[in-house]
Amino acid sequence: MNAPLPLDAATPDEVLAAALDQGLSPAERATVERWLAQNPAWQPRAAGYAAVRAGARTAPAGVDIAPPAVSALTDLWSAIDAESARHAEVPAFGPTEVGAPLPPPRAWAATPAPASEAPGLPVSLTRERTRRRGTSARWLAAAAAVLVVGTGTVVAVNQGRSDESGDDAVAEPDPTSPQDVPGVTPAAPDEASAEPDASSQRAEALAALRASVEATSTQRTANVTFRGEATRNIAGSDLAADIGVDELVLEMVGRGQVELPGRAIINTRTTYRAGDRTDVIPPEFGSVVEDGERTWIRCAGQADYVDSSDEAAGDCLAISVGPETFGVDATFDIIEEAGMTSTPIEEIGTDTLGDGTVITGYQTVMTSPAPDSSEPYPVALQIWIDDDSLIRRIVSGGTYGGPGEETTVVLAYDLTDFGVPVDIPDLD
Amino acid sequence: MVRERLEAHQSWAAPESASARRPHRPVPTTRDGLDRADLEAIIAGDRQALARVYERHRDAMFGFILRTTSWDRGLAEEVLQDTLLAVWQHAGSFGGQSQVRTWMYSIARRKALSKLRKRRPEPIDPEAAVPVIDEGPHPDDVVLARLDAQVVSGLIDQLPETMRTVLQLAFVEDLPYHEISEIMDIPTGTIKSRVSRARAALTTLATQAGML
Repeated sequence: MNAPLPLDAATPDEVLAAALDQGLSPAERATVERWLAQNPAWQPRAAGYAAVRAGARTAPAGVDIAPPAVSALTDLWSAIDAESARHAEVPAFGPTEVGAPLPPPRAWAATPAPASEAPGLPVSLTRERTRRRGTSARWLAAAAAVLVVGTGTVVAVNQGRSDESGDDAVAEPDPTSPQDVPGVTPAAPDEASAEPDASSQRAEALAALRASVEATSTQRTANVTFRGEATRNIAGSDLAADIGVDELVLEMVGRGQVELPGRAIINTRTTYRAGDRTDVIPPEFGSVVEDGERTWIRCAGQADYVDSSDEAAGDCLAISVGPETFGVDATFDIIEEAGMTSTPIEEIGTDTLGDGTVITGYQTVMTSPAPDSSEPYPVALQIWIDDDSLIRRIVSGGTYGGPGEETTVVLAYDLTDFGVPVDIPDLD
Repeated sequence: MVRERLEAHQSWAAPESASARRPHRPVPTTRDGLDRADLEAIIAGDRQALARVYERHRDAMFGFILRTTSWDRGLAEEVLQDTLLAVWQHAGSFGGQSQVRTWMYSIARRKALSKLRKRRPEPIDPEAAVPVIDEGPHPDDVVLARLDAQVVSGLIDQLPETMRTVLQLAFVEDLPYHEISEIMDIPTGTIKSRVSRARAALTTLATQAGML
């Protein structure tokens, strides 16, 4: 063999091949050419590679190599159409007819018409109603039942809470109770404890809890409608001065399915509004699965679930209804944090779901940590249950943040069709 | 979550933020940059973005698929559409470590091989029969250089798929070896040796066919 090629290659053969494509830099290629001139025995081999390159670039005679036009990819577009349609086909239930568009963003109001508006709180708490004896026990039972189904820690959680309280957990006023919530008339601290037989009420609550756990545990799936609205008052801020708008509004409306604990699929439409400017993001489809350790999210267009903490998880609204923030789980996390009884629990009326189920609403106010770790803020919470003590509606709302960024958030979920077959993609 | 959405909303509402949703993202200028921007749009459901990606790569991509499917145009169009559908469905899973075109080629190859296996299974080790090349100059080296490109093309079609693909990606698409390595999921060294072996195999085929 002649003088070796001054290049990093196992054989001159590989270098000769690489010289024909992108395998070598121009300088290296020039080196090869000089080497070939000095080593003519290798020139036929180099010519052979050139012939292979030319052959590879030549199509057989008569073969049409022109790629099809975009418009000619009919199978592709049909498949995408079909996929989009499939994703848009979220089961219709409740007040929304099959095939009808999602309800308008402003039509989310899940509660009966409030008797009056409480300034600063999106959910009125000022309705004058007579609190019925036994209401608390029923409410607690239903609430605890869903909490239990969501966490898999049945009676122990609630039993432990009651034990820690040393008294009736329902009756004990929470020390963090927002005594100055606008529009709220706190009950006298001893109102609940003035029940004639607190211990029997507690026993009643626990008995109802156990019954509800059993009933709810067999109803692990449900259809869900989701409505949310966040309004930020930016009056006085630089941004408000810049854009001439004092209020930014984010509205979310969606529907989907949940499978307790920790699985959901949702199709949600988001609307941004600032003054006259409105931007509607078409329904985003996403699913979420919690495997006990992590939360996995799959947004539209994603092939696989992605850890929700991963940036690649995207920003689809699966997050909004997933275990981390979905009402069934997260709302009761708030209840736990607030010690269940910030204010006395009031019955606020009845309503009828789209499937004809009559539900009864109960309401309280608690203190919740603010998203920005600022001062805790009061959260109004409504729980609506049916005659089987199953939770059918959860509404929560509160206002946090200081001047220029005061934000009011209201979230509402309706659960219907317990036991319905769900189609939530599995984790791979 | 709601707060994050509101923050995004606030950016959207700011007057200087016509592009506020991607405030710090430079305008892509390279082909891969354009591809990546379009992949993000595809994730958001933008069909035009998919069309743009296709327009950008269609000649090379379709040529590659045609060669891989042995010039069966009907089959190649099926593979092409399957490939683009996979891009549409899986754009969100593109890791970003490679170029978008590399990712697309690997999808196209898998789709093509899947179709081909259903039609005519290839031997488990198609390269086993290909002799190890002589590392030094050989008298038969002149054979290929004397052949018409059309003839060499026909000989290439007789090679195992792994060799055809390497030649196509290296000599037609002009992809660097590291990119071919990613597409075929084999080491770069194997790419080099496979090119050499393919040339040797073509010489053998030409000699056996009396093309001296």
